[in-house]
Amino acid sequence: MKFRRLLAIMLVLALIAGCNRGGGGGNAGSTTPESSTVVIGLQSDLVTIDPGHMYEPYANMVAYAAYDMLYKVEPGTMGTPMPSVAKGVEIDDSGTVYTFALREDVVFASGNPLTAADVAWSFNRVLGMPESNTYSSVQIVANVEAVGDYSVVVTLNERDASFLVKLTSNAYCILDSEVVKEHGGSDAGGDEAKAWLDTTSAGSGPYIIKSWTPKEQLVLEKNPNYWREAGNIDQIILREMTSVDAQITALQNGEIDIALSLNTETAKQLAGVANVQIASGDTALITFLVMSRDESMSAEMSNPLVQEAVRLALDYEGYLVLGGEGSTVPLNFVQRGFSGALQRDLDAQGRDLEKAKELMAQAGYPDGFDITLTCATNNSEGMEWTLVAQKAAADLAEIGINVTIETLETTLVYEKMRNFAMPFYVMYWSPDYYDINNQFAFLPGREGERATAYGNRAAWDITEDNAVLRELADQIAVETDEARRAELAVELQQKYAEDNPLAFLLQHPKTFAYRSDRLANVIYNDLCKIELVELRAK
Amino acid sequence: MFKIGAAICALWLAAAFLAGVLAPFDPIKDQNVNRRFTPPNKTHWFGTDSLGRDVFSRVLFGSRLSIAASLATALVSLFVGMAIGGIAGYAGGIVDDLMMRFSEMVQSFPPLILAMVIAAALGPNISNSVLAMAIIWWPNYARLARSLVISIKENDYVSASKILGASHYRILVKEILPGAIGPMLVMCTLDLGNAILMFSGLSFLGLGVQPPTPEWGAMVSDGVLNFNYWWISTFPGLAIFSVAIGANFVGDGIRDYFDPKMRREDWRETRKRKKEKKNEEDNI
Repeated sequence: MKFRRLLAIMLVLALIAGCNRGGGGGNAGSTTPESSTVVIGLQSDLVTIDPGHMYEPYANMVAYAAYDMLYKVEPGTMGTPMPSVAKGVEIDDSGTVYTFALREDVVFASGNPLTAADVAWSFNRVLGMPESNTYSSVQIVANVEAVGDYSVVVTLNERDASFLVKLTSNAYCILDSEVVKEHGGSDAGGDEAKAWLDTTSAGSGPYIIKSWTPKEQLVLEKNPNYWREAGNIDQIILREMTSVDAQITALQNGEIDIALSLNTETAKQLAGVANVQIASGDTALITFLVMSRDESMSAEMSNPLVQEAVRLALDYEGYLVLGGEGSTVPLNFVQRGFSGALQRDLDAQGRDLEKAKELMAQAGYPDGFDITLTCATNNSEGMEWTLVAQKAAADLAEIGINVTIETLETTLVYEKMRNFAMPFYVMYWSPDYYDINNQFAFLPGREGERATAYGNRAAWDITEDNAVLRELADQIAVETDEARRAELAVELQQKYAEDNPLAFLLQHPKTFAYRSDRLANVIYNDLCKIELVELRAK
Repeated sequence: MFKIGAAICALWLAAAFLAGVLAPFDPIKDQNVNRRFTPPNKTHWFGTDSLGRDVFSRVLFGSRLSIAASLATALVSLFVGMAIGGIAGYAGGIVDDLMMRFSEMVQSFPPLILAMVIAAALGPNISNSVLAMAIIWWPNYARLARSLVISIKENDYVSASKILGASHYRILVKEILPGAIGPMLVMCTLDLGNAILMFSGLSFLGLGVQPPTPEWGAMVSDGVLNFNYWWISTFPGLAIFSVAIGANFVGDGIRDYFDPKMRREDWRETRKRKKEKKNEEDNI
């Protein structure tokens, strides 16, 4: 017994000593005596946590916790950039040379100071990885140069009205170059640090990634060297809970503090529960159907007339019901909240079965055809895709298209999508940065410089007819006058509506719930989901 | 008991055959999101699900697939397991060792994962999931069959048959099997409910029945996503329950019929006798 007590005392002493050392290193100053852990139940789709490779909707939740960028999104806004590591910026008259002045008090979790060299190295690292999903976000950068320790000059290939917004995404995370280099990192191509960065982080954010077990949990620990005012949370656990019901029960029991994967229907179970607050946030998340133009997969589905018929056969009002309160149907690829966004006018552009059938006959399929609709066992922020797929199948049955649904595990669907192996599937999109420029991923273009994500995935080539889309987009991309930009965006969407290989169903808000007795300052931001920087324990 | 079980089973078989006539709505096409999550009422006896489909019609149609698939799985596992376990138990020695080690090898895999691998490799559809489940289930039957055969083959009547010069086949099928079939059938009927649940697991992972095909297991897991609307999962759940119970009663009856020894030594009768005796004593 005596020995045990001695051991316990020694352990406590060791812990106290450890805490002191942790607190003394940074300028955090005040450390709360009791340790607090916050558990967030979610269904993330993370396949990597290397900021140079992350591309998934939950990527920035992790990136914002562990890293800093020159600019970050202002909490509570939809994409408004706010200086973070940068103090400010000067843009030259050509609009392509950005000179950033950096703060001098920023330190990495390792204790190394964050300098201009780290910024240049981090940008060059992603530029050296054209195979990375993130590459498309940094392609705009022609050259990045450190001038002295605290000034960075970024030269762009062309003017870009959205560059500051782009800087807020995980592609522009600033990595601790010294540490990453030790683990195989390189800014000249041939980077091998991904395996190491999948286990931890090397940034200057408020938290450090302590461990990551894919599909299980990600553990964030307070960064003792954080350069800004530190929060009072020692550990945040992002726990994967694929069952929404389990999240609800766990929140009621207090096992988790935030349940992220709710929707307006499931949230009703938590209405009136003591100490539980239901909240919702605006999102730029859109759910849509992709119809490949690749004839070798489906001669029928790749037909543009059929694709238009599908758009006319969908019961948009029904999807609004599935999406819940606050949902809207975008006309096409520009979400509400972005420059010049248009909504689908459900009276004039809504369901029109007669016209759809006509188009089917015109395409040569008056009696319809069989097609497989692939659907991941996933959901768009609480809206189950299997429901979407079943609804789409019933809608299309009205015009003779006989849909067989194939449900597959989410990562499998992503892999098939990247191999362009599906003719017809349900997908969602959450922007990497909150600007219409990011939405140009939905434009045509399969090869070379003009390739886009969905141009590729839907095998949609640039032709004489749709070249105008590209031209309009190029103008929007560099236009800094917001009114003119919106005007061009409206024109682009109207042109896009004439012919495209997608059927946009819904943009709907995020519903979540948290323990109001334990958390304060819970702010939803669609880019990084919960603002972990701002989150406080009660 | 057997009669109750038979009645339940007959009822469900009738429902499966007559679903097209009995169901008031189309189980797949009759969607209407505006009436989704309607609680049970006069039009929709079992309410409506998340897409506004009539749960009663879906339960009726679901019986076709759920019953057929689970029955097929249980029967295939039963026959394969009985053949392998019977031979192993009867032959003994190296044959027994080889066959049983093989079955243990199959058993050592986590069942659901093995089923997933098989179903994924063969392509997701209902017959492949039946096959996958039969592959993971037969060892259970083989083990039971083997132990039954080993205990029965020591009986005097088996030895007598052997002395009389009966062939191995005859001894195995005519002498030993009737004694072993009872417990095996009981296990088989018990497994019917499990099979339906396992199918739902496979369907949920996208390897079994694909939506929108009505299937009880898939309907239950669909209902779990909408827990506050109890009727979505309760009714298909009750259907699974009633089929499992019905099959159990029938299995029990079949066992009594097949096993003369059981008929004499029925534990219920023993208990009844004891009770009567006690009552008599109390009366006195």
